[in-house]
Amino acid sequence: MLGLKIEKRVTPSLWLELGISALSIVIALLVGSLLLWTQGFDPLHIYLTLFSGVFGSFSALAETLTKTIPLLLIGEGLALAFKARAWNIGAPGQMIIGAITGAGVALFLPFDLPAPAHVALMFMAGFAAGAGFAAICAFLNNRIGLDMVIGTLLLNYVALKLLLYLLYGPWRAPGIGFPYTAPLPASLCLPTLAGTRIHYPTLIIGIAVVLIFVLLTRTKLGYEVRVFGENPAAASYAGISSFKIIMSVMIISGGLAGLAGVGEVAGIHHVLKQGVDGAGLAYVSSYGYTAVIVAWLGRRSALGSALAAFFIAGILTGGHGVQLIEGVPYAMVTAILGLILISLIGGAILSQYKIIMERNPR
Amino acid sequence: MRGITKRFPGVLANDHIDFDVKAGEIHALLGENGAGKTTLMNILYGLYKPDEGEIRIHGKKVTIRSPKDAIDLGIGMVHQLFKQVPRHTVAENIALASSSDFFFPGSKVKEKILRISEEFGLKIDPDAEIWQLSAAERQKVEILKVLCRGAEILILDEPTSTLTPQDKRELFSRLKEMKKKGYAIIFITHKLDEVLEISDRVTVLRKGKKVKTLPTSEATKRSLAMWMVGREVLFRVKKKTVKKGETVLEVKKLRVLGDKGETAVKEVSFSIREREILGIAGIGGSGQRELIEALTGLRKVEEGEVILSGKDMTNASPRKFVDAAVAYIPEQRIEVGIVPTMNVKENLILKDYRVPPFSGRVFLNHVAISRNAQEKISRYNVITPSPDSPASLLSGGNIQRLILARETSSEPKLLIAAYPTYGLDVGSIEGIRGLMLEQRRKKSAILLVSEDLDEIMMMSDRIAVIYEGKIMGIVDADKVSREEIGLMMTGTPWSEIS
Repeated sequence: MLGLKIEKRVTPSLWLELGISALSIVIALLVGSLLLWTQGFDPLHIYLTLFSGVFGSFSALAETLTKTIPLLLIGEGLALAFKARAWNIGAPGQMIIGAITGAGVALFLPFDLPAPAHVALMFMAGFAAGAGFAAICAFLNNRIGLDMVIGTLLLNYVALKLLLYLLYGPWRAPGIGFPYTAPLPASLCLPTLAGTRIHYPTLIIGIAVVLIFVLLTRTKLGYEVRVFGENPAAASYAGISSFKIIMSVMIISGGLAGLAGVGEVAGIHHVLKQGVDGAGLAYVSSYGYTAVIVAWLGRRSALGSALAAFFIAGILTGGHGVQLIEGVPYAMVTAILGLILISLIGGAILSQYKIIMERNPR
Repeated sequence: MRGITKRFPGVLANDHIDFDVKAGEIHALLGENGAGKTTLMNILYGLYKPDEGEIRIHGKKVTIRSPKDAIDLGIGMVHQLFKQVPRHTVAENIALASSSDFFFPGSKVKEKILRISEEFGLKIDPDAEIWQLSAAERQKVEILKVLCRGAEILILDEPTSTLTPQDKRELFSRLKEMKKKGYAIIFITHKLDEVLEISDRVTVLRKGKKVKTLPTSEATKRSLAMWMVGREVLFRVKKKTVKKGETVLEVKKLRVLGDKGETAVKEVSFSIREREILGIAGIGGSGQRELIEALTGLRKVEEGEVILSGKDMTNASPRKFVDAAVAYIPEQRIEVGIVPTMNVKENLILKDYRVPPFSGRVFLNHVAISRNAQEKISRYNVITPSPDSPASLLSGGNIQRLILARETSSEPKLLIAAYPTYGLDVGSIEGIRGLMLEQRRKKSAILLVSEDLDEIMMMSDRIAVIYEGKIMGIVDADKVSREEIGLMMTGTPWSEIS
């Protein structure tokens, strides 16, 4: 007789983790193909279309990169926050506040600045606003023990309502049928790579953030974040202030979400409008929520989250292609995306265990 | 049990062990932590399956697949940590384990409990709720539970670890009575005195192998220790008299609240000088934890003062205490003392990572961190696969050595040690006590909190006994007897004793 036993793996190797991740994706695609098949689509054909919609052409790849930018910025910040167990679900709100502030600085600055300085100021203001918005939760968490998830989540609605108020009220541009602000002056719109929507200044900021975050693991702050995240009791024992850590990571992650918001306004939309955080576009939720998945998928590491941001952006882009070309409902693509995530996260848990076969366990 | 072998990944936990226990005897199973005592008994109780070997009960070969099989065969186990429902009554807890009645299972069992507790002198109120009981009473409940299920073979896993000396004596006399009635009792322990006091035979395990089984009357403390550790052990640490220095810590009329908002520490005052060990004795949960936390900045002080070398540190942050060279060996080593998922190297700088040479203004200095790890590992004899292994891989004794290496290497002004040898084996205990005495020689003031009276009496210069958050008395260690401390531990002030 054979017996099975499950044991905890002490340190899963990198190759094992990569292998399990690949296997998880394959399993998800197989389950997804069942789903597609019941709806009368040819799964293989759809997957090929999806793949070519991501990597198949220059324009597809460019679109993937465009969508990577906000996911990268927010995902990196959330990866850091989650490492410190600061469950920041408020990136959508922080992104919207950043976008509002960026647009405000662009449209209503009472004095003149040279364009490059003006753009820089937009980004700085957006960072500060997103950071400040996130800091509210960190502060209340420290003072009255407000739950971070609830606090950050509810502030998303506050941010959204503020955006709607401005768009339907004081900031609405006269003479346009839509609730938009006036367009940003052309000098303040971010340049893009030729023929694409890739607003490369924001992308460069994103790449710089990844590099800084890789270095962060070698700093005192990085050490403190890890100690605090892995064992808060040991952190306070070591004299690490939980308030300092939570405040720091919330400021950083909120600020990065704010930057992403400025990037979307100045790089993509050139106007402040609803959906500036990516919400509502073809059933996809805000980049701020999708980035939560990015951070988890990237195992809360800087490089991992960067890869995950690109991967998820690819699926979002490819999904559009499949929808347009094959008529597959976008909801189906979202479902497959969900399947991939569930199996990746499940696989991540499984990779911490091993199964042992015993012969004749009596 | 014959030829019992059990392998865990990388470890041979039990290597062809033969073990037997007769009706009407107490058989002690002695060994260091990790010697395989608990594994062997878990096999007997059906929690593990042996890889090899056979078990016979009353001469009949049996297979025990689960604790249920074991219970049906008349085997009962009293675990180190009791598995009880705090909000239920004693009767309900026992019924949970032994009654098959669906409705009001407690009522019928009550009669049985009263009968059995009468028979063995294990007096307990079946209607009391578990949370109201002391550790000793909860243990009685656990033994009753096992007896109610009709056990004839009792396994007791380190039963004295949470008991006061008085409770321990009580337990031992009950066990002797049960022995007379023909029960077979297996007594797991690593305390030599207990083996000599209670057992008829003793089996010594070391590193998964059986060293010896012999009648206890033929064993001495010294020989048992040698078989158990594999070398000579010094029992009495040699405490040289040293000249006390200036007052380091002064605590004045401290009042601290517990987790539930109750007053856990009341009017506590004491002081410790350089080169002095003040031992705090008391039953677990008498306010020791709250007191220590107040002295390290982890808990708020409601009233009173904490003065460190003349400086007021009342309600200073933990960081301030770290900076003021207060070292702290916490009671919860794994939960508080280390970050289990981080490696040994990183755990060794938990208190010092802020300062050179381990870090500059922004970055950590990995060269210095590695060098520090290598030096500490060899100097403090921490056994680890490598400095890069996660701390969770280390054994209890080595985790404690890691913490000691970190806390004592930077010349602390005050060392607070909470239960520093609890649950460790003789070899580790010897090493850790030695390190503390070395620290005392080097000028540190030491606050030692322990439930082990022998340790308190052996190590301390003065002893303060705490009961329900109050100090019952502070006495010189060489002018007080164990019994007097025991009395204070249960609430008699020193003024009424002397």
